[in-house]
Amino acid sequence: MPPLPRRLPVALPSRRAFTTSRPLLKKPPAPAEDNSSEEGGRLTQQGVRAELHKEAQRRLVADYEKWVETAGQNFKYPLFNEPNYAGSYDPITWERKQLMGAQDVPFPANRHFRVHPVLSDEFREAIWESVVEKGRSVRQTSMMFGVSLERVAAVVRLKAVEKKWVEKEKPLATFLTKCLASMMPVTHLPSHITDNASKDSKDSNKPARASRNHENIQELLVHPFSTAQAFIPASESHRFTREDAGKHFGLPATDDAVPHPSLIQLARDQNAKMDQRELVARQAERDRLEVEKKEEGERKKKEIAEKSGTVVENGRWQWRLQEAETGKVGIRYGVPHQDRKRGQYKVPRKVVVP
Amino acid sequence: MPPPTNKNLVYLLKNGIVRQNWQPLSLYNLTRVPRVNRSRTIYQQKFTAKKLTRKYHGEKLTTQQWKNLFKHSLASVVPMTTGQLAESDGSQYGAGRGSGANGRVPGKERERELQETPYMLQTYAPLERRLDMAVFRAMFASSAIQARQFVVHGFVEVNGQKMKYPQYLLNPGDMFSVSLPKILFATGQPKAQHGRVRNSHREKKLQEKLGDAYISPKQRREQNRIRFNLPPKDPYHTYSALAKGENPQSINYGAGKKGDSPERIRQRGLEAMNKKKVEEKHIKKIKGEDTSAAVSEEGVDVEKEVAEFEASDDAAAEAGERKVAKKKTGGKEWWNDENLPKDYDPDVPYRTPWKPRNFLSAFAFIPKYLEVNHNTGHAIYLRHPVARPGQSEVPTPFDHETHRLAYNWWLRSGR
Repeated sequence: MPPLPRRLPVALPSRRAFTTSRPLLKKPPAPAEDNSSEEGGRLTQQGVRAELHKEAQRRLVADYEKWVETAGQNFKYPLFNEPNYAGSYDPITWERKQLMGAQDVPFPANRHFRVHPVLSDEFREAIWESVVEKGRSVRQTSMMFGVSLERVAAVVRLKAVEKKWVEKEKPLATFLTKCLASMMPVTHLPSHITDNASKDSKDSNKPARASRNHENIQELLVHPFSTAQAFIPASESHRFTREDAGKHFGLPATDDAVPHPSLIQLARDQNAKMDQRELVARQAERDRLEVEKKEEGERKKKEIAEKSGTVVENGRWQWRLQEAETGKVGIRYGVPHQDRKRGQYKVPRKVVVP
Repeated sequence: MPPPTNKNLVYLLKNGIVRQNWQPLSLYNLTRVPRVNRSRTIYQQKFTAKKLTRKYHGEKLTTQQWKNLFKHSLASVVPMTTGQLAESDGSQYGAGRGSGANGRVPGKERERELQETPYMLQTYAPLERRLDMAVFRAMFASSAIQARQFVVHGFVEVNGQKMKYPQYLLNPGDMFSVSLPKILFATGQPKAQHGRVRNSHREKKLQEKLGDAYISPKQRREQNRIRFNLPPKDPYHTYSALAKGENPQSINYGAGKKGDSPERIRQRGLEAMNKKKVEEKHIKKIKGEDTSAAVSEEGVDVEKEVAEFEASDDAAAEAGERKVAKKKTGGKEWWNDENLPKDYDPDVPYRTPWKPRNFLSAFAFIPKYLEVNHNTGHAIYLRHPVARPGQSEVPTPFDHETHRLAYNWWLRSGR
């Protein structure tokens, strides 16, 4: 038998630009002796090398197949009512970790990505009821349930579609929602909210609050203006507040820019040990002003739209007629296309909600 | 001569490539994600990082398509708390000489500040805006490529209008939907295809070439198993365990305890197989088919074990009842749902009655920037994904360091 090559052709990752947590290729077992005798001892060194190469590849596949049939079986079926992500297993023994922090990591190498719970179906139903049936504003509902403004609005839109399907007697895939919810962390509707909801008709001014929010509802998006450093001369005696900082960046104060400024006002009133009745009255006044502001904005928007052209309402459609000059609008026969020019988009950039 | 291995499989395994799909191979590679070799030059590190990350992010996009989307600015949020905003006007940060009185800001605020925002993990955030990517992230398709196919084939709507462009960039507030049968096809188990042999064409060619020396894939696997001293396939799975009222978590599918010898691992497998034999015997006995005493091949007294199994059976049944009763309160028994068609339907392209596909639970999550209703197959893109202290919303299997290098690569090679 010819001497074995000292270095293995595939197995050595020395020239590779990356490494894995565990070696990708283990040292392949020495080729069986009877293998060479079959060939009548005519195996060249190249032949041995090629055989070792193949052996390493088979080993790689065998390792994977072993994993699928042993440790991989942990993932084949769901764990019913508990998430089953790769991050919650020990990478060597493949035993389930009991640590609380390990339950929501689907990518073991990336600890910064954690799975956020989804709202349970009852929770979504409660949000829809709150907005549509009880007539609370999206903002009030968001404060009450501890769910962000966008999410509340989205839940209501999605539920509206679902209700329409029920009306049309289209079959829903409720089993799919339930099945997936059994594999993911879920935020359930806090029980005290459901209890208070029935009493709500008596005292609608005092909505119940979720004890733990589904998400932080006061998250502030970082504005690009505020990412640059600014050096502002100020005397030591000057009380440099958030409002001042905002002014220097050309932005509104944080207290006004957060999604729920009125919650801050409410907390300040509470800190000032204000009378409960007064507290409620002030909050109601803030809500009223909010609604008024919104209505005013909508009215102005409508006015501007009406000014821009004649509106002809025709069933589903609204036609806005504007003055236009022939030759400046529309496609004209014989004129070269502009579609290769800068700023011309063929793929739609937005779809307007009908 | 053993037949050649699957080239593509070897390629994916050797390079530890994770794709955007729900395959067991991707899951296997997730647990051994490659790391950039820090001992090489910076250029090599950046090149490798971009190569690794692009295998997952936008695998089907050309470099130029991705470059057109790349943005150097990375979105993030600052978590504010109502209580802290109400308590102070923020002047404590600028007190003293501009960095807090006595050079420090007391309380928890400081602690929170110390947790870094993983900005670099936002490198591929612009891709998450693509319609096909959102369809995959909303768990409406089993892979990014299938999501793209759904869009191109006209099963996807945006705000109620058919959208056939997978590269459509969703705007915050856009509602997209996928045809429900397609979602069930993507998330469900595949239809059983009787008589179909995987890679039959390839196998036939091999058989012609090798003649008598040919061995089937099943035999090949068995040979490999013996050759590399691996345990036999575990005959149990969760559903049977649940039916018996066992806790599915109590079954150890692991490769064994730390330091277990291959012999011990094999032993465990044999024990599991014996257990199944005992059960089968028990079932036969109940039916009155077989009452003869027998000793199994591995030398286990089956008759004695059957008696033990029967003794424990009543207790297990009781436990099962309790378990079911407890579960009903949670309302999680999707298999008892009234909307789930219970009969075999030859017309649908997935297994009926519907069952979640294997290995789904390891990939089951909805990113925070989406709100999904699987009842109807509709979802809303709430906002662009953001980073917050200690967290990033872009689902990626790579660590912060790899993304940092990749970000620097794209930053430099940008326009």
